[in-house]
Amino acid sequence: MISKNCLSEQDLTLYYYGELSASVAHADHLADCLICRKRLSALRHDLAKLPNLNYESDAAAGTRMAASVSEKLNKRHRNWIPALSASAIAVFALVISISVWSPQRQPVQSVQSPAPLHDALSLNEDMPDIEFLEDLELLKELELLSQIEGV
Amino acid sequence: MPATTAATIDTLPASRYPRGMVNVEEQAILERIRNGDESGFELLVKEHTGKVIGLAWRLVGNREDAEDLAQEAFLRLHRSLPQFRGESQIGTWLYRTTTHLAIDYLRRERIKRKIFFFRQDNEAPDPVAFACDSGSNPIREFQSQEAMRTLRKSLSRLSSRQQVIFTLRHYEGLALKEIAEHLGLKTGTVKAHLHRAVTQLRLELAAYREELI
Repeated sequence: MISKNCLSEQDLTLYYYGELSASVAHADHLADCLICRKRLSALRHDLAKLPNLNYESDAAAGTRMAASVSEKLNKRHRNWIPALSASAIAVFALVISISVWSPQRQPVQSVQSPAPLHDALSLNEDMPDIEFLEDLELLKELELLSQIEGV
Repeated sequence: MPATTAATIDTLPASRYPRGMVNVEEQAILERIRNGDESGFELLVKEHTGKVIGLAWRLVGNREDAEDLAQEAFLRLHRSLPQFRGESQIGTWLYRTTTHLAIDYLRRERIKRKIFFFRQDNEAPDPVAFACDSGSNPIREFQSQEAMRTLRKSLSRLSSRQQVIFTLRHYEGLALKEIAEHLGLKTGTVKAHLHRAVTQLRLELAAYREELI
């Protein structure tokens, strides 16, 4: 039966891999405890049964990889040049269009600038004569007339 | 086996990628690359290909995908070389990059399997993907392939992080502290992942053995 001094499952795993700190105390316990020794032995047995993962690389693999990496790099480089030239052309076209159009924009602005004045004049025409409104006597007469009409 | 005379089998996990400063030879190659000599980069690729593909294959279990991951790692290396300060060796850098690429690959594969109900374990094992020491004995060769298939199946049921941590510790021989550094995790987290992976694998493999009986 496992006692409280026995190694936990995680400690056993770490002990197996030599990753358990203070392993002297654990080693002492393992020397005395038959249960822990059996558990460790079962762990060793299971992990020893795992197949080896030895990768067999042929001698030409390096050359092949170097060639494929080089090809990829060239392809990226080739893709980069048209993209760069296309963006350069676009920037150039933008600069040209700005320089061609900018002198024409000023007259447009000069044509547009009187428009607010014109609008202001038309507004003034619609407005009633201020002098007329200022004539209080006339306003009083108008008020009198409206009272008479009301009666 | 005549093929093995021309082949290199990487079976020295602990010494695969020694850590430390860039050695003199590597420094000279880096200098050549910085001066625009692309043949220097080719030399680096040729030198590290076997180790990088081997690591990728152990992590993802598929030769073709392992080669793709290795290629991506080399392309990233090429992009990073101008900023390479020599604080770590090229091999260590490649090791870390390949591990991260493999984790991303395993996560994508897991999502694909979930979405498309794709069962990888139904696929036939790649007959040339691994080196078995069974010689010309067909029964042993079959058993070896079957054990490999079972291991891959069991590994694929672990989380991608557990899978990578187990492979790096058990097959690559990396210390948990190094794994934690590579993956940017705490050592305690790596310990817990390793334990869960081992427990899960033992359960899976025990069930498989019972099936055989």
